[in-house]
Amino acid sequence: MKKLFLFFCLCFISCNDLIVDTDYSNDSLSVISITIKPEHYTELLENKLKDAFVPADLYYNNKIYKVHLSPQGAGSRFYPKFGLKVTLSDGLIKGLKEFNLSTQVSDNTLIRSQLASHLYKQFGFLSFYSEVIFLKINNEDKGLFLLTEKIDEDFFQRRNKKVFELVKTVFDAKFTFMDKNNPEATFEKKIPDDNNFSNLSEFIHLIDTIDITKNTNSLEKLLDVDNYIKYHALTSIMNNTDGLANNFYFYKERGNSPYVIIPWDFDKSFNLQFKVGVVGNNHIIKKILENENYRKRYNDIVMLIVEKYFTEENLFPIIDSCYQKFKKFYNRDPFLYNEQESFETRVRLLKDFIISQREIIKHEKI
Amino acid sequence: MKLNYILFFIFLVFNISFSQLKYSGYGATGYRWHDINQLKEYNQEAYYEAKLETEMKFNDEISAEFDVYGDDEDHIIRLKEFSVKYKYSNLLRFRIGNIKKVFGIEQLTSRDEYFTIDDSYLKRKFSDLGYSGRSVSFMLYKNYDYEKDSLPFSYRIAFYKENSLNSGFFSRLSYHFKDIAYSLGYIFQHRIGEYKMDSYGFEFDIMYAANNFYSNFEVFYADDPNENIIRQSKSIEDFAKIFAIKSTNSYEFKIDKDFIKKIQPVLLLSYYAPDSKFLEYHTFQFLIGSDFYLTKKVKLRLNGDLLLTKSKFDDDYSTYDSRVTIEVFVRF
Repeated sequence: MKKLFLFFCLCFISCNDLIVDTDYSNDSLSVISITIKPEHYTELLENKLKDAFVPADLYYNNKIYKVHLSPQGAGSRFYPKFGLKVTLSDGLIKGLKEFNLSTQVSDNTLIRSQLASHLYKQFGFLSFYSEVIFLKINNEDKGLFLLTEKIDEDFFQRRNKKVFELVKTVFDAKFTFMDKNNPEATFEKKIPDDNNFSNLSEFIHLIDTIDITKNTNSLEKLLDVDNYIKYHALTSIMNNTDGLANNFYFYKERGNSPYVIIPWDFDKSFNLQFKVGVVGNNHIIKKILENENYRKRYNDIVMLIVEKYFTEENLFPIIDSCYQKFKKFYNRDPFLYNEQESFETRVRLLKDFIISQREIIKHEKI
Repeated sequence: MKLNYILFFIFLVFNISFSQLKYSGYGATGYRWHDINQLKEYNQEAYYEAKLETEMKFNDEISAEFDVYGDDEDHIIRLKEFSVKYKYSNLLRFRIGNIKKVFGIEQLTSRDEYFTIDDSYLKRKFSDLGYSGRSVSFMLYKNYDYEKDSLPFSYRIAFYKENSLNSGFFSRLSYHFKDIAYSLGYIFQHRIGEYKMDSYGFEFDIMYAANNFYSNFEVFYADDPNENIIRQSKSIEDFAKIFAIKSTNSYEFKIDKDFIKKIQPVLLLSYYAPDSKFLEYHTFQFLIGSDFYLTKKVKLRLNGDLLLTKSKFDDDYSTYDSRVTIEVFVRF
């Protein structure tokens, strides 16, 4: 009887872990066509490092929407293919009043983001909606972009979630005060929109000072440690080189809730060039792994990922489905098309990476 | 776009209907470099902005002000202010509209009369906390005119309501003695919504203006509503009180040469402690700069603005958001 009860419990837990709401079976790719006056387009190009916005018409799904466009992204603004923030004057697209058209500059297949998004969702992380679309501006092909839901007040409202605080890691964020560190410089307070970083500073200070071998309570009060371990392990295994000091949110549901992680921007996941290792480096995980129980939990999560999630069975169908969807448009992307390296080659390299990464992680010690 | 048409229409109607119109305003263009990680926000900015103020006099008692503003960020014209003034007597005037909340000398001053190019660090902080900026307000006030007034004081009392969660009132009383003015200010902010918070701020300042020399000194003591909402959520009863001081000083050198008519250097120093119980954690602002007047209304401006921030957990000073700005400014 006890075994039966345990079996049901385990089934329940694993069902909860698998939250998948993206439909990869749809084989059509949406086309978004933007018409913008030449002088406004010039203004946009001339101000792409600022958040200046210009009016435009957006054609999608047989409807014309009045929109405002502004440049979007951090590092991608320095590339010829840069992202756009789209704000609709009226109506909604995909239920969104505002969304980004992100270039995902480091993802030369646009499939990495889809894979990462799928895995984070499977692990139960709060995830933003995303979909690859083909963009045309003034009837000129601009290429494949990732339409992404923004993480703002509306994001939480759509999910019936409260939000007390939301802080974004920006670039090279440090989780220690041992080095020179002004949180205002490397974090961005999103909700509320002010410059108060006292909660985050208190958390970073605790990371510096806590003896976690004796006391885990004070850390658990400020950070959902299990949630963080899952995030860190998954991000490391995905070899997301830009996801441990950048590109995630600290989300606090209520004033006294611990921070949980919301992942963001995955174009550097499945990175073929640089190695993160089974435990990517940052001060949070360094501290967490000083505790033996947490270390064991990290190990268990890594094993679970390698056995059940980071597998050919789980990931290759997504790659194949994306390949089918994107291939018609891929070579029309002036920035992705490459005579020396075809889309097919890049997809193969991605699959090879997954196979080899899985083997490496299996044998790597924490 | 619709707003642009409405603004143009209002502008046209006012032009046709009233003979006593007075226009003023400014235009500015420049370049600013910030000490900011450019992946957070681009650290170099070439900018331009302009403002047109229209003052309409209906009779001796009633007048109105209508300001439009545009800059390189929006690329559209925005209505910055509309307010109506009514003079009941020399001691009592009323003003209603979208006007500046007054908490300190800087918020009494228009951008075109600033000695510095940008807002001071303190003003930026107070704006973040809701003590600065514009709100629809109903104000009772009296200005002081040295030559006309026998009573040497001026005052402002106003109630404001924002289209957000904030409302409240502010007041300021000044006593004028020769070239010096002593003032006391008070602001109250009532925040509703899920995280309710009442906040207060007090301010005292001395201002001297005479013989080409201008100097002021201000002291602030105020609640930090953003921090206190966090503390309240953790049931911490010890609320944060900000302590800040600021001094702005400027002297006008007459040159009267072909190219430069006068030079007006400025020195702004300030100290801001987000929690008055821990004065060792603070931000210093050292701003040094100068205006070079080519004519009475055209000037070249240069400001170097150093911010040194020492936060609670970091032993080192950070220079984050320090900036250098050059600007060409035209007033009309």
